[in-house]
Amino acid sequence: MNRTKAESETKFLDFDGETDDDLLEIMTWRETDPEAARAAWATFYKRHLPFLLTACRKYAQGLLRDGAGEDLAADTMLRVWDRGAATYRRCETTDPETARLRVRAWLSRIAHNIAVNRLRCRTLQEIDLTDFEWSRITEPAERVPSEVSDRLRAAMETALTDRERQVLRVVAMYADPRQPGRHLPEDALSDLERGLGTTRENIRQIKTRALSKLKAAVGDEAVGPEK
Amino acid sequence: MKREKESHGDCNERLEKLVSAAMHAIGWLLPQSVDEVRAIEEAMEADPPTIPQWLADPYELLKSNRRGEGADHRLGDVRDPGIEENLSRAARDGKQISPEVAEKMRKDREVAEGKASE
Repeated sequence: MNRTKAESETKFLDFDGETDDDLLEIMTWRETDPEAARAAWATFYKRHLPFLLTACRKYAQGLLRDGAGEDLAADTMLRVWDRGAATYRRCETTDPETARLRVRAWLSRIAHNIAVNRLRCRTLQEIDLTDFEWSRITEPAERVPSEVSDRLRAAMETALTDRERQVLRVVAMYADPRQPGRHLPEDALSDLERGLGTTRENIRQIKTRALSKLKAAVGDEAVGPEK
Repeated sequence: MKREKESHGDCNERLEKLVSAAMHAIGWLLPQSVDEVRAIEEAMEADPPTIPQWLADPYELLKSNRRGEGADHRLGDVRDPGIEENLSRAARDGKQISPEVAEKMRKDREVAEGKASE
């Protein structure tokens, strides 16, 4: 860190040059140096809000009520202030670009966890990420041939009914296909029944029907077992 | 037979992975990895977000003491057009929708959805 705690006790706190890791560390000084902690959070906020807002708005669009994406972005930033900074695991990489992306993945993972809990009408108390969630941050994304990806995206946007799309999206939020034992837990299914105002059997049917439509759109070859 | 079932399971697994990746690419799922963050950043560059007034000043937000209270994270309404029609008709007639009628409409929708999946 370029700045000591004593140095930050100046009238004008300018943390623009600090790394995200350092800002998050300064935020943990909230008891001993609240002014510096607040200034560090404000710098972090301004740096990442546009990204978080974009991600949360895209996520909420067509799924939640108007304005929910902005609420989620605000709640995520406040959660970082309340509890998040202390749970952040410092980055081991020396590449500033990777570090920057990693912090944003951590932020949106918190937003995801808040969103899932809200859908289940629960308040997220702890925001510690699990080891699996941390490892997932640096894992390369699933490589999808562009023609398959284009067909799939078009089918998701046009071939599915609103309800099929909603069920598929909510189920996908709960179940990461890369996570072992990814089946929906019983209590999550009960929450979905309430949230979607339908039965679990019907949720399964809607999901199966939606996946069949998507499979038809991309063709059997694209969804054959990975080689 | 067992082999066939396993192969079907593999296909479903592959399909769900593809669907998940496509959802991340569209932005329907919040990014959870550096690659997915990059995809959102590309979208952000193409269409920079407007920051609403109430989010513009971090200190004001912190002072507001807002902690998710009042935030509406319920799912948006996705209704069957037939149900919409019934609701509109009832509204036009100035009638209240009783819980029994609402329940019947819900069941009708499920039957319709069940038939569509057959």
